[in-house]
Amino acid sequence: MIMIVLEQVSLALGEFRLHDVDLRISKGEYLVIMGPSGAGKTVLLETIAGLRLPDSGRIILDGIDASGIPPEKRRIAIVYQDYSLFPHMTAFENIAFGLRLQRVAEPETEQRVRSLLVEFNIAHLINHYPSSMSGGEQQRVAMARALAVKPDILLLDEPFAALDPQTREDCMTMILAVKKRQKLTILQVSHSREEAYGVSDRIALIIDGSILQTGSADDIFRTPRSPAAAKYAGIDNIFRGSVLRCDGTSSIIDIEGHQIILKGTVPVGASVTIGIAGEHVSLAKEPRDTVDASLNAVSGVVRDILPMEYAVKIRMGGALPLTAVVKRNDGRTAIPTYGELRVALFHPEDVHLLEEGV
Amino acid sequence: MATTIRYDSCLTLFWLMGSVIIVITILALLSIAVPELTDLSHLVSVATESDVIEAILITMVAALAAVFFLVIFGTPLAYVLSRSTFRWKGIVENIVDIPLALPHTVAGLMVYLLFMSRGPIGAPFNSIGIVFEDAFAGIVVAMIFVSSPYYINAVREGFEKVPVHLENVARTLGATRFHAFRSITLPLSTRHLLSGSLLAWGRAVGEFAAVIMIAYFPMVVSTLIYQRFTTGGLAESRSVAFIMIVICIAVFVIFRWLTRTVGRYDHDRA
Repeated sequence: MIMIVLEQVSLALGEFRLHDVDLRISKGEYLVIMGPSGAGKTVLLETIAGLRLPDSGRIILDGIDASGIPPEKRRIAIVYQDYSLFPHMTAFENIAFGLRLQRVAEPETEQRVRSLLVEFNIAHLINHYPSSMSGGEQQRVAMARALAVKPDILLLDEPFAALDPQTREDCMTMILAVKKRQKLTILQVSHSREEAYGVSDRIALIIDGSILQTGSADDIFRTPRSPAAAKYAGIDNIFRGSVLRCDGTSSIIDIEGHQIILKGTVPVGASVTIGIAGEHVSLAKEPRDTVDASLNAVSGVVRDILPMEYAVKIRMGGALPLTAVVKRNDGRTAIPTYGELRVALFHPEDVHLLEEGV
Repeated sequence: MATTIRYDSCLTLFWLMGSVIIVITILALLSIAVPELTDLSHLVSVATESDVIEAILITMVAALAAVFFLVIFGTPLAYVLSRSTFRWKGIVENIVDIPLALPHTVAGLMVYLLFMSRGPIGAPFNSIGIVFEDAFAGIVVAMIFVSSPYYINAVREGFEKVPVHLENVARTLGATRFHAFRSITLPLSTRHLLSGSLLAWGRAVGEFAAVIMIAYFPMVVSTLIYQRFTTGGLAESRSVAFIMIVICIAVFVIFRWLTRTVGRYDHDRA
């Protein structure tokens, strides 16, 4: 059952713009919206909530055209990154705000607020004002306030971004439990892969106001389907070239004089953009000892060495400057040194076609 | 241990320059207060004159009425200016500020032309029995005109400081725009509303030029001081001035003290 449908939604807002956004979100789905800063993610949430009106296109909520429905009637709750608690109200008053507007009887309001406070482990904050709460506490109050009105849809605008890792994990676990119990549809804006893998059923990648790709976290990060998506996914090697030959199962692409094998067929003569994740590139010592001839091989000199938490990023020089991500201390490969000559090896299956033109 | 820097030459210089203004203000106050306080019997006799008491009451009440009008009509304008973007916004903002830029005699002339008994607004009101010329209503109108930018700009600044996100959250929780304004934005701007009101009230109380153009009578305090200065001389006008100084300072101090905790949410009161 489809809960939210966006049909060709466009909205211009000064520098920002959403461009023909099409999106379908099922009831009970957890969709994470990702994209670089300024891509229009928050604007998209606010448009769904009815806080901004699209210039064109339609939004259909639970089968009903939402264009004439004001935000207060959409049954959509929103939690912002800054939590946006009402500073002149206690935790209790913040959470009770929506219930009082729904004219829920005061004893029931009190009982519901108290049970939410207990559920979110913040019962001791009942009479506290937001200014005296920590970020994690404010976040819980904001979440409880949003859920108190029993919305059909919950919009989360980077709700965990400012939390420490432990609190973030707790909050993610909490929200997943709530979602499971209430059959909530959740849209969350996020910058974090960890969150995307942790909570999402599906991810929508939005760049420059357009949705570039939707899919699982693996789809988005492992098999991006456009150069911009690949860049966002952190694919280290993105190159343009042209197709030299194609034999029905694989194609040979010329990139700066190197012939790279790609699994799959592309029309000869087409100009293409390919991506290879740094993790899929290994660096063998020159001269090549026992190398599988079916692998792509590009030799070059080590130019840059960038240590990371679990790996080392190595940039090679040469006409085709590949970047390899080598695991630290895996025992098999010695970490190369500056100026060393190495051969970068990668599988034709790991060469992804990002764009194909003529 | 590092050497303690006892004084900062830049700050000292700034203090010296700034104190010129403070000193002049204090001297000005003393120049009225000292002679008045040394002749208390004269001061008391002036203070108990019915003309003086009446002028003070009229001034205070007219200024209050002007502020009341501004709260009712200026608050919505301040909100619209703080929350919406529209094509002619810059022009509207300039219109709001016009009374700030005009000589007050010009403002008075404008008010007079509009509200005099034959004026475009004065005439229809005249026909239903409301007169502005030489009347209390005229004083109020002149005061509103000159004090409106002080109120509108202060309140608008207050509204702008309330994050739109708070209103957005309130909307999604079921509040109409008006309810979000009333329950979130307004209480969070209380301090700006109060200080805007006080500023506008102070401006209204002090207005002279714009007021006498439309209503020389009934006399406000400024008119009375001017009239005494030109007819009775310095001593007569100075006593009225001193009474006014005492009342205005008292009002400001009491108002600030009474409202010192109103609308503050930056500390926990639980």
